[in-house]
Amino acid sequence: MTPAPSWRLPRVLVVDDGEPHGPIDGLPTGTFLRDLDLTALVSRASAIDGPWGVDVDSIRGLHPDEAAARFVVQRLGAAVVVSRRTTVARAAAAIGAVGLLAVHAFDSTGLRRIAVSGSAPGGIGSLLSPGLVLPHLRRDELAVLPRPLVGHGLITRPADARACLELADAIVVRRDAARFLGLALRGGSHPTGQPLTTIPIEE
Amino acid sequence: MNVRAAAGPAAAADDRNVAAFVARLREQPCCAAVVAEPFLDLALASASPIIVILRGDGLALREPIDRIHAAGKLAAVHLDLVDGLEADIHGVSWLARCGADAIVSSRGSLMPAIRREGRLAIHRVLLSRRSHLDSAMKAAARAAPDVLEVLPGILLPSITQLLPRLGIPVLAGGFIRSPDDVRAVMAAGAAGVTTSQADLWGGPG
Repeated sequence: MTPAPSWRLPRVLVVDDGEPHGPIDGLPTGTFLRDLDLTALVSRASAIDGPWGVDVDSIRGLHPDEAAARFVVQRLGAAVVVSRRTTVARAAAAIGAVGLLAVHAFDSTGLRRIAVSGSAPGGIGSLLSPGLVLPHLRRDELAVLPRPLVGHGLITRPADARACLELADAIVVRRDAARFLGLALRGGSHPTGQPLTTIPIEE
Repeated sequence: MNVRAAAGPAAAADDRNVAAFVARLREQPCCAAVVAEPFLDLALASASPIIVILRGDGLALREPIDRIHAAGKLAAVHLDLVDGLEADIHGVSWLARCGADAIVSSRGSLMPAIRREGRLAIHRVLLSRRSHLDSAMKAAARAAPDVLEVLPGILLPSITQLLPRLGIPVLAGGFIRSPDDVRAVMAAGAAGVTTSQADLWGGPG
């Protein structure tokens, strides 16, 4: 068993579609695995170069529990583990990965309920879907979302990706969007105003 | 594609409901989304032509619906969100007996039952990511609702090009908080908005 290294969160996670994705200028990138079966997950995980994350709830054949968290982190080497279950995200965080609680933001009422429930205790962050909603959230709404905060879903245009990167610690995008983001960054200014390093995760 | 064309002869009566609903929205596009009982009085006093009940006791809706009608407004109820009701055909029948003019649900399979009860069927579609968008829209097309409600509605201007045209009115709900937001989603093709932001219930200005 390989001990989990002290992971850092890439700023852009590119959804794996079986094809390698290129680096995005200046931005630390990783790969995001979702909607696979367990065998395919093991196969893809061994082929990926660089940090990667996984939505364990979407892996067919894998029951999202603490054993699953240990499996993807310690056996497969996942750097980031996403789940709707706090216990899973927390278990991943406890063994050195970035644990993210998957939360949905469809309207302000639902977001308020997330805040009130306090469903993400310390030590884990949040993966917000759809990520494209991030620029539309008020500051107080952003503040209740546990950090690190990752935007995921419907981020398809470079301008949207930039806007989301300014508010979140990382974003998840598809490979085509990542390519356009890279092209945009090559011809444009720095997207975030922050140092181009990975975001350190608070212990 | 016009999903209502596939709905059969019963669609004629439904179409009158839809026309009346859309006519109300033309007068004032902001539907009051009521998340707690105290807001109902505010909504009743507002210019909003349609009140959507999102929370509360689903088993005690006749009185609030009567008050909505007495105020000259249409009453829509979100079957999935109110307490005490199962989101199934029996829940639909219950809401119809309570006098709801429209029933909202994320369950496409309930749309035919809602229409059979002579109520406006509003299918709420939650958009979370692109790979779910196609399947959600195909499901919506199969369900053939009278009206589609898209959440988060604030994203409508950004994702219009990703949405198929279903040929039915679209409501935008979620994170719509300013007159500019209302104007933006209307410009993107929405027939109206649902919002819990009470200062918009008088319209975008």
